This record gives sequence, C-alpha cells and structure tokens, in this order.
Amino acid sequence: MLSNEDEMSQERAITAVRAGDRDAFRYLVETHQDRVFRTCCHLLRDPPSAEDLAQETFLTAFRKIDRFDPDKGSFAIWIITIARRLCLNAMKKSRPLNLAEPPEPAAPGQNSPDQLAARSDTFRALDRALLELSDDHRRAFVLAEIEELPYEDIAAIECIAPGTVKSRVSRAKLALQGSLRPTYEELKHEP
Amino acid sequence: MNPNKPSTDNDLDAWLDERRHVAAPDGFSDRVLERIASDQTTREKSLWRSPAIWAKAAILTLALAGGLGRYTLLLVCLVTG
Repeated sequence: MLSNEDEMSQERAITAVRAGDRDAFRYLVETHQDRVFRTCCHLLRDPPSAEDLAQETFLTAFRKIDRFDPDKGSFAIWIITIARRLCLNAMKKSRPLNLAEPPEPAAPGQNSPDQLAARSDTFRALDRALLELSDDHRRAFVLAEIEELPYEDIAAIECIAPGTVKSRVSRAKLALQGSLRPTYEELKHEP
Repeated sequence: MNPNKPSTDNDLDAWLDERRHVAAPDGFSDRVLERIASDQTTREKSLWRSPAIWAKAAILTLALAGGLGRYTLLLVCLVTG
C-alpha cells in the first residue's frame, strides 16, 4: 500500500485530474499500473487481452474520476473494483481457456537450467490450476495471495463477508496444492 | 538423488512470489494516456454530430425568433395604435 507522502501526491493528482489536468493522471497510472495489469492477467482466462482490459480500466477511471469517494475506500481498491467488473464482463462475452500463455513475470530469478526446468513444471501446473479454479475462488485467491489485499478490502470489492473470502482463499489454496501432487509423483519416480 | 525434487509445498510460495512480480509492459502509461486523448477527441467530435445537440439548437433558435417576433408585433401595435 502507499506511504502517507504517496497518498498525498495521489490526492493532489486526483484533484488536478478532476480540474481537467489530463497529464496529472499519468501519476495515478504509473502508481497502480502493475497491480491493475497483474489483476487482469490473473483473473482473465485470456491473458493476452489483459493489457487491453488494464488500459480500459484506467480509461474508465479517468471518465468517472468524479465518482471516486475517498471516504468509501482507497483509490487502489476503487480501481481494482473497476478492473474486476471489466474482467467479469469480458469473461461473460467470451470464455476461452487459454492455458498456453500464462502472464510472464517482470524479471526471472537467477537459476540453473535444471532448476528452471523443474520449477517450470510445477509453475506450469500451478498456472493451469489457477485458470481451472472457479471464477469466485480465483478472484479471492488472486486478490488475497498475489495482490496481498486484506480480507476486508476483498470483501468490499466482492460484496461478500470477510469469512467467505477466507474460505474461498483456503479452498483455492488446497486446489492449487493438490494440482502439484501429480508433478511430485512424477519427480519421485525419476532416478 | 535428484536435487530438483520438491520436498514441501514451498513451490507454491515460490510460484506466488513469481506471480507477484508480473508487471505492466513498458510504455503502458503512454498508451493509456494516448487512449484517453483519443477518447476525448472522439467524444468531442461525436457531441457535435449528435442529433440531440442540433435539435436543442433548433428549438432554442425557434424560441428566440418567436420571442423576438412577438416583441416586434407588440411594438408595431403600439406605434400604429
């Protein structure tokens, strides 16, 4: 989450955007772009269209900036709520299950080729398992475990009780852990 | 022994850590601002192409002309007695 100084810069930027300063919006985009892009990548079953949806999220936020009420929650929660709604709409229109291209991390770690190969097997299994989760469970898991949002914030975004968020995250985690078992079994039988 | 054999579900944590580092592509903010600029231009243009705007302008012109006409008629009546 943002520091106090960043919060103040953000408030100034929001005021400037409301006054018609389009360039002030760049600050808001650059502050939240990774989180919004990541959320779209992990929520959509069609990761290549994630950038388009992430752009659409900011375009919608720009058009509706007058409706943002800081008393109801942070800008980060507001914009994630917009991204979530756009992803849901996009998924209703078409539900392709694209397992071939999971979103790539910004900078891969420094590992040996052997380690990378073994990791990529388990990581691919987890990528697939994430896409196979039900939409409700995937959203709760992505927001809680990847975006590391508090359960209360996710509950506000999803309009459900924090206890329901907790149970969805826990079930999603069990499903993901379960998806690793076949990979572990294969590795166990390797010489 | 295979050094790559996973021993615990730490793989899930490693995977989560990797997923948390997915970042927006380079030039993302530029593309968003370009899209906003283009959207604003389109909206401004479409506003003037909107039949509703022209209908409102026509009603206003007629009302103005009607009002002026009435005053002219009143003036003529007053002058001619």
